Amino acid sequence: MNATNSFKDLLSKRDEVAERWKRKGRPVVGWACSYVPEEVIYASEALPVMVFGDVKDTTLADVFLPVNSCSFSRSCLNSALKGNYRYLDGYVTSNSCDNRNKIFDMWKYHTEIPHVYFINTPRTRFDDSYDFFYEETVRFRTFLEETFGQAISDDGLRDVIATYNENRNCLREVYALRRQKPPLISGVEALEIVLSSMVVRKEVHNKLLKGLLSNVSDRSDPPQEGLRLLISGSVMDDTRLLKVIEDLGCNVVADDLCTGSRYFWEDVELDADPLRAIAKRYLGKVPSSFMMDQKAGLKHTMDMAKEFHVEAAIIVDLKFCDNHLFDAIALTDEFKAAGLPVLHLECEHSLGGLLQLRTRIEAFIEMMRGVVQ
Amino acid sequence: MSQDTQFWKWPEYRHTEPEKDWTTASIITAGIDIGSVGSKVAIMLDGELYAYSVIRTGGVSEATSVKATEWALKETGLQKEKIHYVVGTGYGRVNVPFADRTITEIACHARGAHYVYGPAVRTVLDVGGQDCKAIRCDEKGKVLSFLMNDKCAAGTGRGLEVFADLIGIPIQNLGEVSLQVEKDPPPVSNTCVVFAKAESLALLRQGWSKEKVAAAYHAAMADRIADLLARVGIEKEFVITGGVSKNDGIVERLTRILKIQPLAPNMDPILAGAIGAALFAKALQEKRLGLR
Repeated sequence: MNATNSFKDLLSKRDEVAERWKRKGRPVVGWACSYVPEEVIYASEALPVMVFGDVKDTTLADVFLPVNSCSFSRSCLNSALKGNYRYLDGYVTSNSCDNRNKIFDMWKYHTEIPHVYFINTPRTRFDDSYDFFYEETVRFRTFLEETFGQAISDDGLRDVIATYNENRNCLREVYALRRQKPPLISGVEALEIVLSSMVVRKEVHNKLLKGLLSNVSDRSDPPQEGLRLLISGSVMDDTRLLKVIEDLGCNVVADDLCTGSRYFWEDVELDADPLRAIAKRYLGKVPSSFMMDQKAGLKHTMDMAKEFHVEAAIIVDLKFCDNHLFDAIALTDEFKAAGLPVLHLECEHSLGGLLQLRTRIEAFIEMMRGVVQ
Repeated sequence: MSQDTQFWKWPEYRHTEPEKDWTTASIITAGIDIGSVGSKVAIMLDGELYAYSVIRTGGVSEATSVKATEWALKETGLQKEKIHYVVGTGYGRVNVPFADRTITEIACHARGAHYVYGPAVRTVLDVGGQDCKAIRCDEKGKVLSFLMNDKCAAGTGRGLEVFADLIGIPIQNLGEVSLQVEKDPPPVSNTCVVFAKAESLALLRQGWSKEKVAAAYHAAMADRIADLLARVGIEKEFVITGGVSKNDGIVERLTRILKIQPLAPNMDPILAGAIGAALFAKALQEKRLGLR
């Protein structure tokens, strides 16, 4: 049996996992942005799940959205409108980009999800920004307590933080397996592992991770050695594109995705007030593209490139994603300055036009390797 | 379909080099470039162009690749099965059933341009039926960097086909017609082929002459292609390949905007991708035989 099958399996059964949790009489809360402090949800005995998109179509959501809006947010909304998220008791999002900001209203007024909640994330990281975000976290705790009738104590939060930090630590160890040549875990597998941590209670995921980490060195089917790539981008909620890339003879060994390294790179550092510690971690983490000062975000990407001995980079941006498209120009320059060839792809969440994307990726690989080796 | 809706239909053609003899060649290769609009086959004997065909791509790439290859071989006495190595390229490259390997059109156009224009080529612009590529390459024809336009067809050959039908001028004459204005009017503003067509239609209804509307359309296309080139950076020598390289209206405007004269080809530049593929096929056959 493949070493990472259990994660893939979990990912494919995410609806069942959520429904099983619900049958225990406990809530399921969907979150849409890596700035939503998941620990607080978890401490209310709810199952936090990331809201993924619907790759098949977006016709229901199209009615509510302008054509030049984010195809990922569109497909998530479509999924909800279609009833795929019937089990959600709540949906929590943040103003991480203008699309998310506006699409909040569509979730609130057009889906049947009972509680739709908004967290205001600052764009700056001054002292008062942290104070503000802490207040937002307090407000969020109150909302959860009132909505689900479960008190969220400081001690409870401390336990959850420990569980989450353990998960983060294990995920970092999984990523470390990709430093070697060839990596012990493929990019597709790594993404499945991270995504699967977003659909199940962390205790369960921690057990799976520990099992993997103790057995993986003996695996009989490690990835073949290939061109070592870093993937830069925003959300990637399935493995289709990475599969295309790795099937062309590459090893995706690093990323700066918010569904990848940026999800778990930092722990919550416990101090006297666990809620303040959580707020500090989320606002202080590797910044997403919407945060002020692009250089801070780019640093993480370039550090990853170096640490994971990357030979080239592919920037994957969603069409009309202003924040990332602005950064792509600076990021391209950073990669070039580091001597790394870089390919910039713009695509829809559906990956429509995959043939042309594939041609670009293939040509990029031919360029790096030569056609006749 | 009535005669007057066929202006887009560019002629298909083939050619054999009369003085070359395939029976004395040691390596026979084929490059098969299945584009979105045109399919090109180049048959090469020891790395020299021997025969070729250019046909319109049909709905089924497999059938088109067979038809184009058979047509290229027509009257040569050479059978498909005697070709030592076949490389498929272009958007339909995975649908060439008898290809030994596929290589992207980006690598093939750079390699082919190197063959057609010589080792001084550093920037290749390929304007095809459905997309447009700006490629930087070294003195060996190896790709150093490249950019492709988006899926939109307005800056490409297919857009010109649609436009030819709209104004009722055969596509081969379009470029020339577009140059019959004293000064270019403002370019059409739409980047989508359907909207650009609607905009052109509106201009015709306003009483603009066909020449003036053609100039506006070509000017817009040239602007868009020039933007792509500017992003990849142009270095001499600069060449244009692909079907649109035959359109003087585009080539002349590009020359004006970029202030750089593209090299004149010494053979049909629509074949660059197929020739590149056939040259890679030769290298791959040599490798297979242990010769390199």
